[in-house]
Amino acid sequence: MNLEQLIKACKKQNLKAQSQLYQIHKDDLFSLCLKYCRNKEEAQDNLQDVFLYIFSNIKSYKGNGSFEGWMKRITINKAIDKYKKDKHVNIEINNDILIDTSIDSKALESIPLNDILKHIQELPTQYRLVFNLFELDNYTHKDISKLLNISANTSKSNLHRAKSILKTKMQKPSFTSSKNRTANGN
Amino acid sequence: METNKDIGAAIQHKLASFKDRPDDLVWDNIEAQLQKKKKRRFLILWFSGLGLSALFFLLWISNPFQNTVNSVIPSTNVIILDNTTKTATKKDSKISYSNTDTIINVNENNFIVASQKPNKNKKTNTLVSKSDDNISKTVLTTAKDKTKAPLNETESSLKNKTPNEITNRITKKNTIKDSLITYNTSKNHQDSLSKPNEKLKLVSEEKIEEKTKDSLNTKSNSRWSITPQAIFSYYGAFSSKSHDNITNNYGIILSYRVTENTFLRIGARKLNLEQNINDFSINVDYLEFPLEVKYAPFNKRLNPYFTGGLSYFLLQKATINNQNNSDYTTTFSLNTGLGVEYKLFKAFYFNVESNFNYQIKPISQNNNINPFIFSVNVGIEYRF
Repeated sequence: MNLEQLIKACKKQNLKAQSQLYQIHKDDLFSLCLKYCRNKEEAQDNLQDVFLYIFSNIKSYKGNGSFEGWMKRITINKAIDKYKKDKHVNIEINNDILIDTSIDSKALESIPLNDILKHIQELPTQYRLVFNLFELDNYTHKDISKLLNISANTSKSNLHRAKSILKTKMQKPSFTSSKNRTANGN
Repeated sequence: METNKDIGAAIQHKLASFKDRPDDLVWDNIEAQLQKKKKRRFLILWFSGLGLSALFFLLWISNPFQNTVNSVIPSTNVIILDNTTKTATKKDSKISYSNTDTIINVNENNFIVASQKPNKNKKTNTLVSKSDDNISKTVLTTAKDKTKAPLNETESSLKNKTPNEITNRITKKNTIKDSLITYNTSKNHQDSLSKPNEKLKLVSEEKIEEKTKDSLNTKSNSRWSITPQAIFSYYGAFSSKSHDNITNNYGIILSYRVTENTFLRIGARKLNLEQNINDFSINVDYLEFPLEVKYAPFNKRLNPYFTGGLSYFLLQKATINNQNNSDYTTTFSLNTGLGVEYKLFKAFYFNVESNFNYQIKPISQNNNINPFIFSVNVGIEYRF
């Protein structure tokens, strides 16, 4: 079954097709969830919500634009919805802001992926969202300001703070030795 | 040598190859939620269908389209009141008592005593309704009374007759029974104008027959009926083109007349259905148990009617590409139909009806089809 047939079958709520669609896209979307959420559990919850939403609303996908892009947008929006629900959670304010947010790329290469991911997950939620949206998913500050109901300047500021935190954490001597830690916080 | 890079771009580059997989538990949860939703959707459809059917049924029970001439008689001039059961007349016949001119009382000795109320305006005639176990509803006519003498004649003639005598004459031919007779005011009006001296008389059996002929010519007192049917079924699907899917089947319907025009019917049908879609063929044997309401708005010899209701399907056998396959052993359908019946003789009627059944669940959830059954049912109905 090609993607078009699969989508058609999913529109008819065919469980087999839904399972197939999930199997094809679960890893990509879960990886995306991991970047936007605080931990693996939250990412799995988000993934579940995402697929339930996709299966319920797949009829609204009219074939304009890529299906993967459509699913990705849903995934990000779900994570943002969660953030908006929990907005009352205080943002950690880090006053030690670094001016320079560049990093030696060779040093970064030696850091395990899971460690990098873990430090992204540990960012305050708003910083994490802004960092992911801007750096990993190429949203503009204007788009981010609309999505998060913040000003573009706040978005820029949050991004800078996020980068500063990440740089600080990655430059810690103990950081590079923690190769066995996983992004799950285990 | 250090190659400094913005941390954002560097992380983006690093995470481009990142991939992780969720636990299997996630899909289990999603699947459970989807099944729950499907079940909920099915229940909503089922209860909607049931609700609609109940509404349909109640509407027909209350029979809002029934001809009100039967129950409301304007300008009634004469009413028989039975002193022993004064309330029965009103209760049973629901007659409007406005413009009553003459009241014929039935005294305790079962003799009629007529009295007159002056009527200044009305030329119209009269209807007498008498509800009693022994006296069926009857129709009497009277002309416009301008002098009292003719009335006295009528009074004297009536005085010698008991209600039983009156009604026995009228009901002899069994033309009126259990219901109030339709009253043709205009016809009586003409009669009274053409015969001004005729003041009050019983309508002869023939005249009653004539008056009621139009509305009751095919009226049957039978409450029950049974209809063996031959069924030509087309098993189709909304989502896919199918072919070679007409089969012959049979069934039987038991019907109960709830009101004059409404019937409640149940039945059983043995269906062998076939469907060929693209590269696979479906063969299904069902036992269908319909519960339907039939509404025939007219009482004509050639009589159209509508049906609506639900069917319960019990799966007997199902094969897909000659392999046994079925996810659901039972299903339901929402039914609607249109038919016509023709009175052959006595209690025998010839029926032809087309039915459309939309099945709530397909035979297999792996096939993306929304099945329906379109059938033409031909049967001989026997009423008893």
